[in-house]
Amino acid sequence: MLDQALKHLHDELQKAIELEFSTIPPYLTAMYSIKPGTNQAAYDVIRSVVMEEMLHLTLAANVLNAIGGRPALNVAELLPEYPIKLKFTDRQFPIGLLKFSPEAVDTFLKIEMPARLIPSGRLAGRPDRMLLGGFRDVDLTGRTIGEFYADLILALEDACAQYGEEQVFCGDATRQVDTRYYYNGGGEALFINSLKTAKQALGLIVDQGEAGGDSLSDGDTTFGQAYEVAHYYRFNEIRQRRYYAPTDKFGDQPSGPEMLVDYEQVYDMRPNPRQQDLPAGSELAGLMSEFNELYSGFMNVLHEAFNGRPDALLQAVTLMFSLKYKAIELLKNPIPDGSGQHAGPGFEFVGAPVAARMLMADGPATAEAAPAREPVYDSV
Amino acid sequence: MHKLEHYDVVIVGGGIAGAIMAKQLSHQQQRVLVLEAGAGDPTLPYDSYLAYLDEYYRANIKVPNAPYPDNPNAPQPSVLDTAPIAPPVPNTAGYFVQRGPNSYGSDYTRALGGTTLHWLGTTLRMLPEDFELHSRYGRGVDWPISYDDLLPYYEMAEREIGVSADVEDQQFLGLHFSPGYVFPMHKIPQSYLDMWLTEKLADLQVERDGQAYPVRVVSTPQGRNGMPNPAYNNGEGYVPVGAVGRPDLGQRCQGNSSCVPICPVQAKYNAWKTLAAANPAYVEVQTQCVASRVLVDGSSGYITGIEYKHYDSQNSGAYTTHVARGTRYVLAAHAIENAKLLLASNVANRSGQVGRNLMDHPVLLTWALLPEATGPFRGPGSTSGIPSLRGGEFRANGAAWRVEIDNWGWNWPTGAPYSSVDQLVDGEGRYGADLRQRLNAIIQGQVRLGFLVEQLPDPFNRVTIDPDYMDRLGNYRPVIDYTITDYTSAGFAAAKQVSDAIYDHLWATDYTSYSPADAGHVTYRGQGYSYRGAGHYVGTHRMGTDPDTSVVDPRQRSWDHPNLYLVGCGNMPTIATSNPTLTMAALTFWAARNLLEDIAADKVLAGAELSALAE
Repeated sequence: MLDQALKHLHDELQKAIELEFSTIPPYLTAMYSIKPGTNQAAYDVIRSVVMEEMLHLTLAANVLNAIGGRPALNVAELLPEYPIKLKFTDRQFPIGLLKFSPEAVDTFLKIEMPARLIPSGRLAGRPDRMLLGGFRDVDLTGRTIGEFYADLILALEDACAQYGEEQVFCGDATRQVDTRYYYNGGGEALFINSLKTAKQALGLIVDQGEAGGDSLSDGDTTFGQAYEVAHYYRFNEIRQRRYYAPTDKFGDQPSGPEMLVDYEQVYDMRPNPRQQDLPAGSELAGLMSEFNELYSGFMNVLHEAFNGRPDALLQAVTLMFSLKYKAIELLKNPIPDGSGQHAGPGFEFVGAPVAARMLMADGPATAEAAPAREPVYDSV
Repeated sequence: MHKLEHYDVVIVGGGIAGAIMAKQLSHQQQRVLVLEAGAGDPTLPYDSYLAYLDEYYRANIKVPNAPYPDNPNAPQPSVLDTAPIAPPVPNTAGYFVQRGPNSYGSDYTRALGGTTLHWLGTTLRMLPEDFELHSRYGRGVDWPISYDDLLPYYEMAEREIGVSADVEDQQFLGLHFSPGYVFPMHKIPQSYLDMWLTEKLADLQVERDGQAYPVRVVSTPQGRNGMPNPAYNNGEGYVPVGAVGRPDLGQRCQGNSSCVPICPVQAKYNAWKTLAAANPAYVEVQTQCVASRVLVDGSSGYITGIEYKHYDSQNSGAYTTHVARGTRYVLAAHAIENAKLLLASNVANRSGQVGRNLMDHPVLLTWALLPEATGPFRGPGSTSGIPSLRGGEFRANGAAWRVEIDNWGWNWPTGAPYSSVDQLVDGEGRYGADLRQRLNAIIQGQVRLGFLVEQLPDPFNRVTIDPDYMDRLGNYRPVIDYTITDYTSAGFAAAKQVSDAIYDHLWATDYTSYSPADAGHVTYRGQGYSYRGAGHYVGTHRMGTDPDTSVVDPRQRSWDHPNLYLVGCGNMPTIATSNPTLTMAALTFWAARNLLEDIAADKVLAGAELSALAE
């Protein structure tokens, strides 16, 4: 029965990976749609959240590898097709690829909604199903992302109690992605080889997303980070155009300094850009297809990185730069149909890892250069 | 201007040396004032770094000082000001008054953080033999301390700067490390070009003075963030220091390829990181305060204050004069600025050596097209070098050098890739697919080597002051006398021969050309060589064992003034073949330790006096 328990945990963690990943393209799209040199604060807020989502993805994959699972990141059926629907038992909403806009920020707030902010009347009853449209159906128990992880921790504890910790944490240590290969201010990629470290990792995901107690802080000050509130509150700062002050409590609106937000300084991207919506044979269609190939190559590299080749993440950095440039190129250009709306990144998985193969075979060992005259200086 | 009437230590200069001093002293509860001549917000806000970045993007010519605007109240040299000199007419085009006969080709940055804002980040140690140049080869002078004396301080400097390197690669020509030592981070991945050259040059040997040397490509230690080595510090590991004010940025080098003049994510070390790590309760930083005179008590020889001129705006020459007072003083203003200030104050110069023995690494560039594409213009400026000829018996007769292998094609000598586009479009009228193809063909094979040639200490290579040449605030402009001697030119000649051998071996087409119209140009045995500056100002207040021939003692304290320390590359008696910042940082940690020892000794003394009184 250990096998069954492990199988259940593997499935749940694979869902966690898919869930964490599915939030990244919408965040990146909103970021890249911001015109250079404008909305710096909002850009920084979204970027800080993206980096933590990437950390969550890495942590979930490390936990899955630690219990003998095989993360899957390059299978079309497992990857989102936007717009997806995030369905909780008691609420549902679409997540699309949107330009930086009040609608986009509202969506981000819904994604990161902490449990205690959901009206209490709707908390009654055991919710049993969460569905991500566009994916295959995914069963995630729980009302919020946080509760999903809480259940996952319980299941891990149960399995360890029943079958012994060593039986559960039976994964190959060389499959762990550690701080050598994964780094960013989002926090540290923990090496998972025990129930304790797994709980640390999953706990960190929940804390960064939701914050606990009466505090708005993500509680992560281990790396000398500045005061930083949890994701939901960071997005609320953008919506309210004001930062939280360290003295603000749960339920307060932000009372810190003002944040400049200008929704006009944004490329007017048509929602949910798709290859099929661009005139076939047009230059933009070509760009989009290049983007989607790069994206697919990127997913293939990520898949490799989480399946025994952590050093593949070095190539992923290069690909992130390429993806970013390509996305911005798309965003800068209007669709030639008189609508005035601009193109944007599709994040459509096309399978064939052409770009990745090319880059991996020919690329020099160091990351690709940024053009010196473009104010684009970070891979995210 | 400054806040306290009296400090424990007043430091002049907010670059890496001043920052290390401030950090070390403040963590021992010493009240420190740092006076920085240039601009900069002492709270080091991230936005002010972005402002430098914007300045860089806007600049038409991306020279090292492009992001750091010239400030007439604290002027700085620019490489754009250099030109051939026809003595006795000096070149007065920029901040320097260059009397020649040869041009001193280097710049530095006067702003909070100093030249680390635009340095490349090369952090080589000196060779053990470099400390004994005179006794081994009869040239220059010996250092009063040895490699082994400095070894623990090298380790401190490597921690502070955050050096990425592998010990296995660095054990050559007598370089040795503490047992079990590893660098804070693994080496920065070598470029494709590095790997390609490693393979192609593996079997090449060259000769100098009849002796054969291998041409060995070795990764270069660098002050930029790489993968932390978990074995560092007995298994404690190392956490890379990201951007000041934005620690989530810059935790790894991302290969933005603009290290010089500015790393956009601060993955490369700059002195802000050290300033930010000082104990804020004990450090006060004041910028736009140009030290103009060191005040001294004539009878005791003790320094009594630093007179400085504070200006509110770079747009006006208006200033107010103040005096900062402390128990002890540290000059950390730069080899040129320290010497200038000492000369202007007639201080610390019993030996007459202040301002003399000015050195640099004249850099001989050679450039060629390789027969295949090696992917230049990616990654940090340089990730490897050829150090196998840094030392050897030939140093009795001619200068040694280190070869820097450049990752940015012909950028330095010709301004590629921008100039390549100009040439193909304007010069050859190409466009469209043809332009792209040709450009690709030209760019992809570009390789450039830089030979950093050593100079010997020469009393006539010097900085002086002259009341005829003042800046807007009425401070002296540096007057530079500079000659490239035959010893260094012999190094150029050997360098060019080795470069020829390398390019021949690679089947490369050599495009190197030197012209008498170049700012730095010398003729040696019938051949012309053009050199550029490396920004390595060394030697202007050297250390030694004899107060008659040196300015500071081996502990880095002025021979003449017991409460004055000098720090910076000016203390180095010779330049050898390593970029000097790491050695200078190590010496500064050594100086900080000694200054703290002085303070402790005073306390013991004061304690003894008190107990004597009590009895």
